[in-house]
Amino acid sequence: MTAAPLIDRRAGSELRPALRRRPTRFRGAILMFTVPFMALFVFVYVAPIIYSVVQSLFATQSSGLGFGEPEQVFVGAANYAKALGDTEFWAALGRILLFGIVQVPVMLGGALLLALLLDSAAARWVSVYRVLYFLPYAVPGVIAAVLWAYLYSPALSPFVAWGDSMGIDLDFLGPNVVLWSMANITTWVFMGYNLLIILSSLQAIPRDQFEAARLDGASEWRIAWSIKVPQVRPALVLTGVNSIIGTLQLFNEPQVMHVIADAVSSSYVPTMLAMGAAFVKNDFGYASAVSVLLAIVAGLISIVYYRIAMRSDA
Amino acid sequence: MTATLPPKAAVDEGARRQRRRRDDAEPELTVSRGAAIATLGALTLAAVYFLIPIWWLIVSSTKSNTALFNSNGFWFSDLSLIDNVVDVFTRQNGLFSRWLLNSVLYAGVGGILATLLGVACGYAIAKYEFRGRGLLFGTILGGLLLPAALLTVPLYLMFSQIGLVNSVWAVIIPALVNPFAVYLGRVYAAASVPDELIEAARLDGAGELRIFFTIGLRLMSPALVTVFLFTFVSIWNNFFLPLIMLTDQSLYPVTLGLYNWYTATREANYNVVITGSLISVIPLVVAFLSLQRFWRAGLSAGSVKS
Amino acid sequence: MKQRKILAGIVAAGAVVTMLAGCSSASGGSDSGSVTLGYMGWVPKADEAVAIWNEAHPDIQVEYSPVANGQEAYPKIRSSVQAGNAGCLAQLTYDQVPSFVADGMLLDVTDETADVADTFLDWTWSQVSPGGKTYAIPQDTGPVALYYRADLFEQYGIDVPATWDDFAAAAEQVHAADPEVTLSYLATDDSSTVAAYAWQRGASWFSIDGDSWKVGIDDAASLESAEYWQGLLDSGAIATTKRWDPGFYSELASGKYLSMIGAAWNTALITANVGDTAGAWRVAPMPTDGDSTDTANSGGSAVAVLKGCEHPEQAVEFATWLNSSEESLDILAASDGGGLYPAATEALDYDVVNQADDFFGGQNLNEVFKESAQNVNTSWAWGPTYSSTDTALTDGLSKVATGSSTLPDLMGSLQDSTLSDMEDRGISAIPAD
Repeated sequence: MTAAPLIDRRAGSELRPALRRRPTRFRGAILMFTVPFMALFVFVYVAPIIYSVVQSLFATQSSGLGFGEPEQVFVGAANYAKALGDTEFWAALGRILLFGIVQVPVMLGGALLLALLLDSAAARWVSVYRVLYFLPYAVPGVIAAVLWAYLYSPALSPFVAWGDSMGIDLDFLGPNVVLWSMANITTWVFMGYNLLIILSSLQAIPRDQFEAARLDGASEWRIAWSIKVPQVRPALVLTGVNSIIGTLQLFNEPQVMHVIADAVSSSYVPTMLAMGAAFVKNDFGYASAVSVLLAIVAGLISIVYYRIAMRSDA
Repeated sequence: MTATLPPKAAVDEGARRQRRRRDDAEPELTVSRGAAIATLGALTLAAVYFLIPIWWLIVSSTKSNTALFNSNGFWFSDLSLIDNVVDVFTRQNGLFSRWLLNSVLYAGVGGILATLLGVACGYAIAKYEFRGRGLLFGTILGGLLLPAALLTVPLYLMFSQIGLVNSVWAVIIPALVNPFAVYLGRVYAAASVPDELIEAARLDGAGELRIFFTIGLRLMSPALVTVFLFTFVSIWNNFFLPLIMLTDQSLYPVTLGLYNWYTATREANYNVVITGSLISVIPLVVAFLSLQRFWRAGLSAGSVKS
Repeated sequence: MKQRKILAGIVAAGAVVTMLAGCSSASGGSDSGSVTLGYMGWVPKADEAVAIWNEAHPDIQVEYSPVANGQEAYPKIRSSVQAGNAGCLAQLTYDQVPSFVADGMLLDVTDETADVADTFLDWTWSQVSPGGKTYAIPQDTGPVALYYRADLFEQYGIDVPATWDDFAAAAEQVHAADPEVTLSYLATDDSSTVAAYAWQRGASWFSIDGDSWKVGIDDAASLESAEYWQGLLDSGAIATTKRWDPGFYSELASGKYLSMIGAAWNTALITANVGDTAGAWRVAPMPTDGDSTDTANSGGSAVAVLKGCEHPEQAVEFATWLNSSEESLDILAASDGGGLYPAATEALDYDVVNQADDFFGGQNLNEVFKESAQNVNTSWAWGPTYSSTDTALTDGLSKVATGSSTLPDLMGSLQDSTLSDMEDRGISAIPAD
């Protein structure tokens, strides 16, 4: 987000003259390898950002009864002001933040724990477990959401039926529960994937470090906590950033649950809010403003997370 | 930015191999029986969590609509699997097979092109000195931090103005840009394509393109397969982009098609959605199981979600 | 070695799919001299009607693309118009027509439709002519009636309720007899029925006063209706459900609800999805407030002409045929074809509409629906931002279901949000009070 406009400015003013002074070798080849990707990158990543920002400054306006041809009017920051004053926007943002604060640590904590268990001396059949854990990743997110929606739906759910037979009233779709029901779907799909990244990182730690610790009388838990965990921090940072980005664009689960759950409104998460503004209310300016605000939040959170995760490294 | 990603892909590869030997052999130290049982118990419990929904999916795909409501969800009842499969493939004049084919097309073509474009760019960043190289790489990795879903609506508006919406390209073009491919291309090029080899080829009079295609790509083939696999999966799994971009049902990928059936409210069609979901998952599961060693190599190099 | 083989395989696969892509994009051409009209809709057998038309009209070919119904379809239709590849025609429920006009998505076909206006019920024609210009051809209407299970009514000793007071008393009686079962339900994902309850009592959510809108979503009649239903919800006599969740049909089949207050188009849905209960269903007139015989309309669609359509004249010709000819309605109005209740005046006497139905114990439902259609309070209009209001209504109903809001409160907040939506758009609007 922040880096993208930078390259435009530099490329125009500073970089070109520098290149002219000191021509780079293999310029043709470099261009041939990088330009196709960069052109598409600009088209698919940079241009939509600029487009969003521009679009967010306009609003559709009609007059009288509203049946004349609507026109696009420059409104400055009005769409941003509207978003910041919109309780639905804050509610949607609050939901994904709450979701992220709970789901990301639970998922990564679970993945780390399972990875440590798989990496421990007590584990057997590691390759079998590894594949089983990874299996849900092969289920497309929206299909996973549909699958779990059926497992939650009172009419069809074997869990609800089982609860009934035990006299327990299970409700996965209640207003205070449904967010966590969705968190479970995300966790189910991505935990194994994150686990494998962490596990790969664990397995790259030279084994003699553990031998030395064992000779000093350290317990397995002690080794795991003091030797293994610090060394997989980069993997945790990576999976953490990925998960945060994923959380901010949470869409599949609420979109699917919206069909069956009263507690999931049409603007439950920011992506749904933006989509509704665009394709139900025909308010592309507002949709763009919401997207831009969310991108800023994404950038801030990633930077803060990265800073915190890396600082404690020292 | 760079530092967020584990920088030692090549090293991991070796460690992985070393580790595999250990898996099969007896562990080096004796573990108490209690610890072993507790560990395996926890691992098995986790496996049950991951497998229950899949088991339910398999069992349910064999049931008729009525049986879905009247029987134990975790065990077989009437066997209507064949009927369900026939229903899935004949509904709407056999649109489902078209959807599957579309998914293969989008993920296949998108995966191949995204891999080539990204790896070529990563190769250039690794193997050539030029001004702005770091900035270029940083910008591309910055793309990883951007929630792609946020770009979809503006992208839709841009595409609609140039007439690309509701076409194959609307789904493929955005998928071609995969910053992770650049990252992995750079890491692998640095680790597995020796500079001396490139210099030697130059002395033999080979052009840069030829060197890339004959030497670079060959040496980086594990990276290519990994990047291809993960791009393939991310396109196959994508839902938001086709949802926004496509109107014509015959262009739908299988995810969107199934969602369309899921929200089709004129009839109770659980059996079709459930069986269709199972069928749509099978190709990826098979691909993942059979290509294990490739994606595991990719994961250890620090791959990314989506 | 193995890697190279895989690579070769990938490249080969790529070549194949590229060829496939070439094939698919090459198709879709049409004969020169003929006109091709795109048509998006969700009537189940519309493709069969279209095929008959195409057979008879080689010079006006229609390409039908099915879209998921209602709320799922509108974003698709909107995005297609936005992208300029929508073709010519799309199905819209009446409540959406003014919003689509206000968003600049429909084409003014007042001139092209001048001589077909009389073919359709007057009030449907005014529904497709917001602000006095015509943008769509009416397709079907949704006169509301009471679908009920005769066997269960007998079992619980209930008479068919003629008034809302009877209905409430019957609801309490059923609930007292078996708390697991209710007389009927309030569907939180079916805003059109909630609007119909207000409509029947004489509410006026939108009306035009000179060059300005009057908005009355919280008018006396709307609040009266809201309080009535909130009372039934509070006492537990009525449950809430999601009627567009397919799980609804399993509830219906299980006898959890003894009846359903719904529009005529439900006939086909009930017949198709709760086959086990064939013969047990009957239809009675919608309960009234006792003083008047007014009923209401819920849903029903028009076929709208989209902005960008290059052949509006032919589009109107086809849509008129589709929605009024016996040839077409024999398919669309049949209960296995969509069960549309036609908006064309003469069509109400077609055999396909006017016949005994075994699923309903040999009852001729048309006797009920025709009367209901004639008693629909016809002054009702929808506003130019109703697509937003409708979404807010649906979200609000869900809040009512989860207990975080009440129906009367919802009407108040809809009134406010609708007025502010209109103000934001620069549309002039005042509260009706």
